[in-house]
Parts: sequence; structure tokens; C-alpha cells
Amino acid sequence: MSNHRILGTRAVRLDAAAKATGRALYTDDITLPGMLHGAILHSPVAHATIKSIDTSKAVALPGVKAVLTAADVPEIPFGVSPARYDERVLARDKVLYVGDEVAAVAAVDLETAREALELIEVEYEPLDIILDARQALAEGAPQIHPMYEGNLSARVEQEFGDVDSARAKATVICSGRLESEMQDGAFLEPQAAIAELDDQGNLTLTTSTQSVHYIQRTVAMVLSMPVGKVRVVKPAVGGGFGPKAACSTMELLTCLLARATHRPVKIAFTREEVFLHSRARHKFIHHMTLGASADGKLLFLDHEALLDGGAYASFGIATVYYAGSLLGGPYKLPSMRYKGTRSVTNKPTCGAQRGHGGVIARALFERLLDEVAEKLGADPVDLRLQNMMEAGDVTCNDLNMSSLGMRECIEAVRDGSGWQEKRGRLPRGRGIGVACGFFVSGAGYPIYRSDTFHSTAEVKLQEDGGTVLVRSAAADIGQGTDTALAMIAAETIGVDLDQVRVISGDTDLSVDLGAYSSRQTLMTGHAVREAAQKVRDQVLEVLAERLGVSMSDLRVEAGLVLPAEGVDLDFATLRTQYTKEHRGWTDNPTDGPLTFREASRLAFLERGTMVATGGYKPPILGGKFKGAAVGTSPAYGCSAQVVELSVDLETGQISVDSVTDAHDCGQAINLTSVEGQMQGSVSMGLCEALFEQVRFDAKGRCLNANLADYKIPTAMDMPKVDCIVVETDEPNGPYGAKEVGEGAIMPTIPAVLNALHDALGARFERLPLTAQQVATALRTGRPVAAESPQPDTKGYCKIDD
Amino acid sequence: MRAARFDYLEPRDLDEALAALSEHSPDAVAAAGGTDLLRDLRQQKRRPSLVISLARIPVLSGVRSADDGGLLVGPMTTMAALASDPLVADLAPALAEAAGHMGSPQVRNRATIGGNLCNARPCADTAPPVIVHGARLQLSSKEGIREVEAESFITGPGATLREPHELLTAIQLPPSGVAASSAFETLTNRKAVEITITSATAWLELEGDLVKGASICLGSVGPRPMPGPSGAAVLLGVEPTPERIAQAASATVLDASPIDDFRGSADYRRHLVEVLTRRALTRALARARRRARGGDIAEAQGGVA
Amino acid sequence: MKKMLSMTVNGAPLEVAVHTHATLAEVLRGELGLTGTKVGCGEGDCGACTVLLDGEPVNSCLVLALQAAGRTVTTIEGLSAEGAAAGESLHPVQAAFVEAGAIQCGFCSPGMILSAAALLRRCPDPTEADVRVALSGNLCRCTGYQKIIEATLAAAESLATSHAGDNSDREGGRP
Repeated sequence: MSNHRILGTRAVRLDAAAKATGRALYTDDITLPGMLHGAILHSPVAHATIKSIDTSKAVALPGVKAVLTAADVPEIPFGVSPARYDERVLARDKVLYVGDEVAAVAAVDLETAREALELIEVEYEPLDIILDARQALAEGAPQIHPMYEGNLSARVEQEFGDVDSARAKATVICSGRLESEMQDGAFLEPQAAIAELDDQGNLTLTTSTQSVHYIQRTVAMVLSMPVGKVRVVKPAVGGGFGPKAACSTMELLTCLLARATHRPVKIAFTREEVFLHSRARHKFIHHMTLGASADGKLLFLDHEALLDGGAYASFGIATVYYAGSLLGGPYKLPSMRYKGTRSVTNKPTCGAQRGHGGVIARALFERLLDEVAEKLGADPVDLRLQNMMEAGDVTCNDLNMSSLGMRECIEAVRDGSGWQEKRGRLPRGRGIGVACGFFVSGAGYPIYRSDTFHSTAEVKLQEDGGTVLVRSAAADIGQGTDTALAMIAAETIGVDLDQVRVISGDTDLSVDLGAYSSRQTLMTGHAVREAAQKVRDQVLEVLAERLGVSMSDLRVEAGLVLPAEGVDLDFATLRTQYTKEHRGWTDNPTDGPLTFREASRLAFLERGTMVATGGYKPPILGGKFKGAAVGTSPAYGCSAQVVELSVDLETGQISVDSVTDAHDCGQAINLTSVEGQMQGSVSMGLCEALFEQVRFDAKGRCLNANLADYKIPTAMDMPKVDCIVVETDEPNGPYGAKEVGEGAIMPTIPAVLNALHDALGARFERLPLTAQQVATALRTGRPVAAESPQPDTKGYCKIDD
Repeated sequence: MRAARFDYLEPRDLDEALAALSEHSPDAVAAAGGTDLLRDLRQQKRRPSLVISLARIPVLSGVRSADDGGLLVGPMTTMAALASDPLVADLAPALAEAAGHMGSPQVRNRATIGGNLCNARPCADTAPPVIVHGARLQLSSKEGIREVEAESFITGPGATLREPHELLTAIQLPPSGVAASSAFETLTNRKAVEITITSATAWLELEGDLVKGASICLGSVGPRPMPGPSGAAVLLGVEPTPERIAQAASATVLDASPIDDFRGSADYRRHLVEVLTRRALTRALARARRRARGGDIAEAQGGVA
Repeated sequence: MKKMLSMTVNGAPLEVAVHTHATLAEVLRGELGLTGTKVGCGEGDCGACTVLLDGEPVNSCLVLALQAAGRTVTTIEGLSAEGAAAGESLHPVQAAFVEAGAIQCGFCSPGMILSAAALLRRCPDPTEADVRVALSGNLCRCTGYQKIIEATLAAAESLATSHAGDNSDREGGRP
């Protein structure tokens, strides 16, 4: 659809060769001279008061350089949203979950550090453990966190339109529940961080993070340092998916140990610690009632949700809002009521994960949509086409669909999957299901209240003129941001991609809120485009002056400076000047059009370094109600998927045979990366639907804190995913671009649920859909029911040891 | 977390290994492939003072035909080698299937049958095939050699008849009748890198249209590999019709004593015992018939990775 | 306790003193600076630490370093040197991964590429199912594997083409 030279192509990623050869450095690959190794002592009990901590034996161990307990670290609370700063670096009086941080050690090597941990003696006085969100909110439950009375972490009550009168008018009403389990990010690279202080007291933290900016701000706050003296650098990062977006205790401890020892300190998580730290997907219980008119128009949604938050808030306040607000679209829904509750429990803290807050809610909504279609005798695809939004529509909760290729997506998966031939015609045990979804293209507001730019970037032309340098604090965590930014810079200036270099992931370079809420292509893309435009214009301004023409008489294309359409210009004098200036250089151009390199060099000779900045902040978005900020975005991506699966009718094992996936990402920047995000999202969604769940025993100990028993897909579990990239022109995106990183996961779980219904005639209420659950449903004739999202009505019941 | 400190020895022949084991047991541990051992060392589940690697003792590796027509399987034979060995695929296809299913390709390149048997996890995938084939295990020590039945070797989770100073030095599979074969069935949630939720292995020998011999063994449904005599008894001396096989599978459920754990409930495991036993018997029967017909060996290997 | 270990790493024989309890992954990364070998779990579940031991993929976190004595180890750093055509810096499997977009976060890539290279050495013309089995011990959370499988199949083709035009098997001589 576009006539871009660079955008929409299949560019080879800038970092691919370094990663293929093993030369790309991740945090744990880095060793600094004199570096110490740190390790963290985690609470082995889920809920207890700390009676005493004795570190004397650890301190005495040869090779140990520092031992920190709560007494040695700042008491400044931190967290994600300022209203819920509920974490301390180390537990002082009380531990709230198995994994809570109690002490930290720095030693000459990792073995010594770990040995020292074993020598720290902590006396715990056990308290009642609460592992269930409904129990946590029940009458009589003991309070877990001092900030959260009744163990209530957050409550949202919203109503848009008039649900009660819509319900009175509805002829078809479907009601149901869905209960999921806590999930893990399971990125391949465990978190690691290295902190060092220089002799001027500047701190550099190298860390595996999704947001150098938020880490910088939190580190500066907790260590009481000026923000400008804290530099946070992100080397190659092995995936994040949400849990690496917030500043962790581990990052803060690394800094504090470096400050205590005056030496660089590294801490690297074990895989078990990744699970204990978590900050991944909550356990959700949803109950929804969806109503439609006799002719299939959706009328209302009444929705209640309960989120099991674990010990602290992290991103969870946003999560509980997103769980409601992201149902406003992509269908025309005139009224919606939402009551969302997040409780604290004695488990690892949950936070943001791909499709933040919306994934399980979307799954139930789309399942109910199929139930509505069934009652109406309508094809699920037709019901979706009938109700979907179009560009320009605004949801009942004030989200503006400035572009929305929903129709194109639905039609593409319908036609690409053979839907019409298969739907309702497959034998028992085989099924096909459809679902849709949409997602923000960058959160409309930062996590702390501020008018800050969400992204700034700098584009500099190297002084020889030949290289464009993009500098940004954006975080490429594997999704391909650096390459996308390089492509935007190359497109904007008019040079080839190999003339662009990107340095990123460093708070010294710019302000960028980082890789979360699918924001970087849109927001950092805008900033880079603006900076590139400006720097290109600076060069053209010099040329125009030299040539005595107007800037609009010039254009840059494929690295060449050319006269604009219908303009006749002679660049010979400039070429001569350049050649005279560079006598003795071996690579001077001799014939052909003037290159941008020459032009850029001439501009430098005249005006000095060619550098420009760009910035982006979203306009004021959303309504005026409480929580209106969550869900707002300058743009929304959307997608539709059809899943085909087979069920072993005896063992209950599900095999997903194929997935047809269409996603509207606006203008695709790098087509290969767009498909990569789609396939990766489907993979995560499928396995969250089928296998993934973090399990605990009755004492709150994680039973499967490893990648054998926590199951992410292997190459044998993934079907072929047929990707259809739908491109719309998003008015608020750079070159019309918007997200693909998270929205693409939205339809997967409900498409599986709907396909399973097609296969077996049953609506499942619990995730994941393990073979055992499916087999049990087949044997008993009905799936296991979900719990209610209400507090346990039987009251609090103590777990017996 | 932190591996315990130990000395490391890599004997070049069996005598040296047995001598070292005898001298240092019970504080010495023999390392086969190490895929379980390294995990245990890391988690400090074991804290040996000496690790004796068996990797350089050639006599312990490989599969060869025994004089009686059976197979001699060296305990250091890797899962990958077992899964692709033509002799094993012919004589004991269930063993090839189990070995080819276990863990990941990387693990199968290291993990050995000896390690799998001696670590004696209830989910050890190679134990049931070895048991249904009526294997005898050779245990060697400085004092001499003794043999035990594979069926009685594993006594509980992590416990075997092997004394600390002994090594498992050979797995002896008896010769297979011309009309006998076996099959291994397992259920996992994911399709690879999995721990078996339940497995069923069946061996059948035919005489004409009737079952002359039958053996069933179950994995992950008890403290050790659980033999399924009740099911086998249903089939002995009768024609193995689908109905009889279903009856046998159903009877086998009585032989399982599974527990609830986070990988699966006892109830589901009992259900799987019936389903998987039926499937294993059905496939073992088809293979036995094919062998009886002198069918193509390659065909009989169907399903072996 | 430390012992001397002699092994051949990426074609070069070397000796290094290692703790008896050190894993091969720890020695490669820590003592030899070969940080292309990644450790994603340390328990043999994820395959990120895959190296070739005498040509076969193994999890280097589940191998004691001393168990590699006298053997040849190929890490990702050695693959390009070993397999690349003259003047090329990438092994054909690496080149295919780069070209196909099979690399996102890249943390699984070194192990994945080594597993793929070992497969193609053993089985030059694999089916898609062969590839899926061969890579089933290398977890990837980013890609959904599709482009990885496409890349492996593309590498098989490019290797077949280059072998067809070059009778001397440049990878020959390996077990």
C-alpha cells in the first residue's frame, strides 16, 4: 500500500549476526575488573515475622565483602505507581511470600556468596498463610501487607452507558466464568544486573531490563541520588514480555552492594529466582454477562473480575484497570459495567505480561460472543463482523479507534482458514474457532504522573557524512526496535539502511519510557522520525543556500541528493568543492549524482556537527472518569485468529493443528519482525491456553520453578501459523505504524476455547486446558466449573499444616 | 544451588572403577550420563566425596547380540543410541520407543539406560520396557558378579537392589520369540522435554492365534515401575481380540497405585493406565503378528524416533 | 578441588585447571570467555547452553567439565570458523537464521543453531518433522519456532547446493 523504499520491507535485523555468532553480550556475559558477585537470601516461608537475623558467620567467611540486611539499606519504599509504593529493598519485620528478599551478600565469587547465604541465620515466627485471592478477601482473613486493609490491593468500579436498562432490552443474554492460573514470563534470559560507581560518585547500572528510564528513576529515588548521576544501560536482553519492565529489588541490591563495597557487583538470577520474583501474569477469575438484541447487536457487558496479585502491587493496579477497559472494543458495545478487584496473597507478585491485563478477560468475552452467536443461530464470524468497530469509532469508555482494520482481519482469517467449509462440519474431536482482539499502541500516560516526553531521540550525522547515528534510550529486548528505528531514520532521510547505526538502551542518550504497552514503534518511531527529518533539513538548507534554490527543490533518495520533480539543478560545483576539500581521500565519488554523504559532509564543514532531536508525547487522551488513563493510547492494533485443533477423546490431549492469524499493525515497518511478533504471540497464547501454570504447595512454595515443569512450547508443540499482515494508515502513528507485539496474543486463548467447543460441544471454564482437565470433562460430561470472583462466602479458613 | 565439592575419578577399566567404588562407598557416586546427577549435585540432594565417571570404560557401552540370541545392553548406552539401534528396534521396540521419547535430544545424547534404571525414579521411562522383556541385570563388585531380575531391581523411589559398592554392568534381554513384540505408550502434556505423567508398556508373545506370553508394566503410577499382572492374566491362553485387550487394560488399572501430584491426579492416572495399556497392547500385538508373518523389520519399527 | 582438563575447543587443543564440580558451561563461559554459550536454566531444561560434544548436541550445564577430557567441543564461536565458506563470517545455518528472521532476543540462538547444524550434518535433507524433533530441546519464547524451522530447512538447501558444486566436503572428517 505504501511507496516507501525501506518501510514494509523484510530487513535483516541489525543485531541478528551478533546474536547468531554468540558475540552479542547479555548482562551475565559481562565481567568487569575487580567485580564481585552478589547473591540474595530469599525467605523460605510464605508469611512470617522476622524475629532475628544473625549475619556474623556470613560476614566472617573469607571472600565475603558485604552482607546487607534491612538495617543496612534505605527504608525508602518503591514500586511501580507512586500511590502504591509498597516494596522495601529488604524485608525488615515481616516476609510476605516464599522468595521475599531478606539479605544480600557480595563476595569474590558466586560460590562464596552462596555459601555465605547459607550461613545467615534468620529466625521466623510463622503467620497464617493465604494463597487464595477469594480467601484473602474473605471475612476474618488476617492482613498480609500493612498498606492493604482487608488484603484489598485495588478496586475498580466503572459503568459506561446504562447497563441495567440495556439488559432489560436484551433478548439474548449469556453469562459465564473463566478462571486462569498464575503464569510466568519464561523469557530465556534470567534477569541479571551489574552496578559500578566511579570516583565522582556516578553510578552505572547495566541490567536486563525493558525500561532503562523507570529503573534510573527508581534507583535514584531509593539510593537518594540525583537522577543525572545514575546511568542505566541495557545490553542485549533475552526477552522480557512485561516482567522486566519494573525496577526490581535485585537491581537495587546490586547498586547498594556496589556502594557498600566500592567495587563493581553483579547479581544474576537463577531460573528459580525468575519464578520467585515473577511480576508476570496474574491469576484471573472473570464473570461476565453479555447481552444482545434479537438481531444480534451487542447491548451490554456486565463484568466482574478478581485478580490474585501476590505479595505486592507492581504493575497490578494498571492490570486490574486493563482487565476491564480493554473490553471496550473492538466491538460496538454501548454499555459496560466493570467491578475489578485485586487482592494480595502470600505468593510471588504478579504484574504485567504481554497483553497486559486483557488476555483472560478477552478470552471469556470472545467465548461468550460465540455463545451469543449460538443462541442467535448466527455464524460466529458474521456476529463479529456485524458488531465490530471501524476507524473513527469511539468505545463507550472513550478509547478512540483512529484506525482499525478489524473487518480486513476477520475476513482474512475466515477466507484463509477455510472457515466456511469447516465450521460445524468437522468430526467430533476436531474443532475450529475464531476470536478477535485489540490492544494499545503505547499507554497514553506514563506510570508516574508527569508531562514528560514519552520518548526523545537524537539523530546525528557522523562528521564524515556517511553514517546516520540514531541515539535513543528505547529498549530492544529482542522484538527488533533498533532495526525498526533504523528503518524509520533511513526512510525519513532517504538513505539506505546500511548507512544507519543505532545506539540505544542507555539513559545517557535520551528519555524513553521503554518497551512496554507496545509503545516503541509508535512513540520512539515518532521521535526518531522527527529528529531525522530535522537533521536532513539542516543538510538540505546548507545545500539550498549554496545552490541558491529553495529546500523544496531538493530531495534525498537512496542516498542521493536529487532535484525535486520538474526541477533542473546542477550539482557539479558542489561535487568539485567536495573533491577539492578531500584531496587524498581514496573514496571520493567521481561521477553520478551528488550523494547524501557528500552533502552531509559539506554541511558539517559549514555549520559543524549535524544533529537534531525529536520527541513525542501523546495528546491528552481519554475520558474524565477515575481510571480513564488506563487503556488510552494514540492508536490501537487489532487482530483476528482462527484455530483448528484435534482432541484425543481418551487422554484429553489437545493438538493444535493450525492457526490463521491476521493483525492490523498500521504501516508495517519490518515485515519479518511483524510476523515474528505474531508467531511469538500465538506461541505464548497457545501454551498459556494449554499448559502454563505456576503451581504452589500448601505452604506457598513454588512446585514448578523450572522450565521442565513450567511448560512453554517446544518446536514440536507449535503448529504452522499462517500470518496475514493487514495494513491500515494510522493517523497517529509514524508513517501510519502501530503495535503488533501484544495485541497479537489476544485472540489466541479464546480461539482455542471456541475451537474446543466446536470439537466437544463443551464450554470450558478453567485454564490451562490440560489433558487431564479435558479428559475429566469427557468422562464426567461437563468441564470443571470456575470459582466466583467474589470473596469466599464461607469466610476465612486457615490452612492446616 | 552450590555444587558440593568432591574428587573426580575417571577409571579406564571396570576393575579400577569397582576398586574405587569399593574403597569409597557409600560416599562415592558413579556418574553415568550425569543428566540426573548434575541436577542433584547442584541442588545438593547428593553430596558425594568422590564422583567416579564410567564414561571411559568401553565394555559398559553399546548393544550387542548375546550368544543365546538375546541382547546385551551396556548400561552406558545412551538413550539416543538405544533409540536408533536396529537390534533394539527389532527385539525390544518398546525400549527404543521409551528411549527416543525421554527428555530432549541433548539429554538423550547424554542420559544412559544404566543411569535411568539405577536412579530409579518412578517415571524412569526405560524401566518398564526392560521389565516387560524379562531382562536380567548384572551387578558387579570387587567381590564378584550377581544377577537380579529387572522386575525386582527397583524397590522404591530412588531405591534399588544395587549395593553402594556395586555397579550395574549389563542389561541382558532374553531372546525374543518369533511371534513376540512390545510397545511403549506415554502421556505428557507437552510433546517434548517432558516428565511422563503415566506410561504403559506391553509385551506379547503369540502362539498361533493365542497369547502365549504377556507382560505389562506401568510408569509413574506407583513408587516404582508397576507390573500389570492382572491385565496379563486376562490375555494368557486366549485370542487377543479387541474386547479381550480392552478387558486386560481395564483389569490393569487394579495394578496401579498412583498418587495425586501437581503433574496429574491419581484418578486421571488410573484412567490413563487403561487407555495407554490398551494402546500398548494393541500395538504390541500388531508388531508380534507382523514378526510372526516374517514382516518387514523396518515396518515393525514404526513410530520409533 | 581443581584438576587439569585437556580438551579441544573449536578446533584448538587446550589445557585448563577446573574445579571438579565445574560444569562445562561454567568453564566455557568463565574460564575460556566463550560467552556465546548461554545459561537459561542450569538444569538441562532449556537448551540455551547447547554445545557439540564430539559433534553431538549436549546441554553443557549437565556435563561436568572434566567429562569433556580428551573430547572435542564446538561452541557457537567455533561454528562460523568451522563451517563458513571462504571469506564468509557465518556458517550457512547462521546465515539462514539471520536471513529468515529466526532470531529475536537471541538468547536461544547459539544453542538452537548448534542443534540445527548437528542435525544437518547427520541428516542433510531433513523433513520439517525431523527439524522439529531435533530442535525440541531448545526452548524459544520469542519466535514460535516457525522462522527457526524455515531457516533450518533453508540452510539444508543452501548446504546441498554448495556441496553439489564442491565435491570436497568442507565439513568432512567429523564424527
